[in-house]
Parts: sequence; C-alpha cells; structure tokens
Amino acid sequence: MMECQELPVWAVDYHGGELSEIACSEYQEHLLECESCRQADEEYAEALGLLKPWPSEPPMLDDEAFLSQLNASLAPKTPSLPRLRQQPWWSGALAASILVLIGAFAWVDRPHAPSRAVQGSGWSEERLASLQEELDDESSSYSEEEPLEGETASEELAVIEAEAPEVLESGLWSEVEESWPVDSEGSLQESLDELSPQELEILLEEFEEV
Amino acid sequence: MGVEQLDDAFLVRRAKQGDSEAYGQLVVRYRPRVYSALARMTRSREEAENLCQETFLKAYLSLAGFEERSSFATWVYRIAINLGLNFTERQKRMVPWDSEVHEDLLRTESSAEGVELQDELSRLKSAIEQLPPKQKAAVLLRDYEGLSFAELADALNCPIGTAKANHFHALRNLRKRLVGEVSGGGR
Repeated sequence: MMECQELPVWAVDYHGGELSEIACSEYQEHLLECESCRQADEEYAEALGLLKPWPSEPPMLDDEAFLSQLNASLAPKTPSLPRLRQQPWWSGALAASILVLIGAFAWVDRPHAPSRAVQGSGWSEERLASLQEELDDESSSYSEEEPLEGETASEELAVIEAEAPEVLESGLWSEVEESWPVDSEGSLQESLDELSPQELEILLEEFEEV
Repeated sequence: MGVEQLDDAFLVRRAKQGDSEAYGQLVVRYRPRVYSALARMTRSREEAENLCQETFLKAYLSLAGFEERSSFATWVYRIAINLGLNFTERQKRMVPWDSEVHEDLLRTESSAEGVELQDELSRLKSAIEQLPPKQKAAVLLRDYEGLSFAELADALNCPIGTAKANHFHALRNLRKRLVGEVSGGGR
C-alpha cells in the first residue's frame, strides 16, 4: 500500500510510465483519497509541461586543443620518475674497499708479488671479478644526496706514509688509484675518507704485510 | 584495429599502465557528454571548459584507484557532476550565459514569437539557476542531458529513490518560481 511519504518516487514513476498497471491503479486510488498528494502530483505534472527545449550548449574546444591543455596541466602534476635507490651509508665504503682490494689483487697477482694478500682476503679471482661487475652496475645509481658516514682516513694515510713509505714508492698506490672507477674528480685521499675505520685497518694490514 | 574501436575497459587498463594515447581516446570519447552537462550547470562556456579540464585531470590522477566497479563513463561523469555541484555551491549568484550559439539562435528569431521564446527561456534558466544544487542537477541531467534515473543516481552518488525525489521536488519548486513570477509579473 502506498504511503504519502512515498509520493515523490511514485509520482516520478507514474509520470515516467514506469509503473505496472496494478501499481498505476494503486497510485490513482491514493490520489483520490489524499488531497495533498493529489495537489503535489498536479504540480509535478504541470512543471513537466513547463520545461522548454533548451538550445544546445556552446561549442567546446576541439579535441587537439583540449588535449594539449590537459597535457600542459598534467605536466607538473605527473608523478616524477622514481627516485634513484638510496644506497645505505656503508655501500660507498664497501665499494671503495672492494676496489682497493681489487687494486691490491692486481698488484699482488703480478709474478713477483706475494700471493698472501689475496689468499688472506679469502676471495677468489672470480669473486672479485663478479664484485667488480656488480660495482660497475651500481656505480651509475649512486645518490649524491645522502653523504656517506665514513670517518676521515687522512691520519691513516699519514701513518702509511710514515710507517711504510716503500708501499707508496712501490707504485701500489698509483695502481690502486688507476683502478678507481668513480674517482674521476676526487683524489684517492678523498676516496679513502669514505672508508670506515675497520676497513682502513684491514687495508693497512694488507699493506703492512706487503 | 584503431584505438577508437577499443572498448573502455581495455583503454582504462592501458591508461593505468601509462599509455597516454589510451587515456586521450577516453577523453575524446567522453568529453562531449561531460562538457554538455557542465555547460548547462555552469551556464558559462569558460567555466565548463575549465571544469572539463579539471574533471579529466582529476580522473587521470585518480586512475590508479579506479577499481572499475562502475564504467569509466559513469565514474568520470560523477567526477564532473561533483565539480559542477561544487561550482554551483560557490556561485550563488546568477552566471551570465555566454553561449554565442545560443544568443545567435535567439537573435535570428526576430519575430514576436522569437522574443517570447527568448523571454520564456530566460525565465526558465533563471528559475533553474535558483534551485538548490542537487535539484538543479537533477533537472539539467534528467530533462536536458537525457540521463535515466539510474544514471542520475550514479552521477549524484545517491540511491535511485533519492534521485527521483530530487527531481520531484525540483520540478515543484520550479513551477512555484515560474508561476509565482508570472503571477507577480501580472501575466
């Protein structure tokens, strides 16, 4: 049975021709019995007749112009390319130490050089080569935004110079420096500055053995 | 097969993967409908274009979150209607109709009948403009954009019964304004 508060929905369906025959009869019966609903229904029906054809809307921009504007709006809002992966603070130090060891390996691998340093490292030649490749792959993605947290190696280098000048004179330093792929702008000392004290200690031990 | 022949769901998937051509095709496909509704709601060509831009911009930026539970057309239309309703809420005053086409059409009607038509349309638009935003949208989208009540409910993001009730109350309000104006104007 139709209730008065349901009139809006019933009226819209009735005038829209969406009521079944039985529902139409029920609606009409309700209007006969309820004056307020009948009046509301009459007003709605009259209003439907008041709607006039409305000239079409003004022409819109052509597609090309619209898309061009949309692209211009999108440009500054489009999410930027993903940021390069941040390397952990020790990755630079690790890379530096690997390179130093590779340099040392290159030196000790010469026929006249002792092999203890390489053996002592526990790394095979294949492993070092593999690490070198990984390093080459990663060297292009280093972020410049986050400074490494390595401590200065200046003093350590000074110790090497003082205690093992033969190491410097032997040409090892220049070989290591030449094998340093990311050191296009900085010096070896700057690169050593990125090493942690533990890594410097290992390096120093290697050279002391030499 | 050209991109214009691909279905919406495929284009949406491509657009989500960053295919700008696919999104462009969706824009071209649905802009006329979106623009038409916005032009009627804002009664301003410039505002309709701006809101149209905003609609497709918003849709693009929200595309990743579009779960395709409704069609792209319904979704983007809902965004447009929401923007139109917000605009209507902000613009409580009458916005001059800047349709050159409309004015040209009316200017060509130089007869007394043409003048009367212009007058009636002007009063009708003014009365629609004064309706509460959702009632205004109900009249414009249902009676001038040809939406079904189901589509209207989707666009207004409300139950279908509410959409029908909005339309019912909108027309009664419209009648009151128009008839009251006629009586008040001595017609």
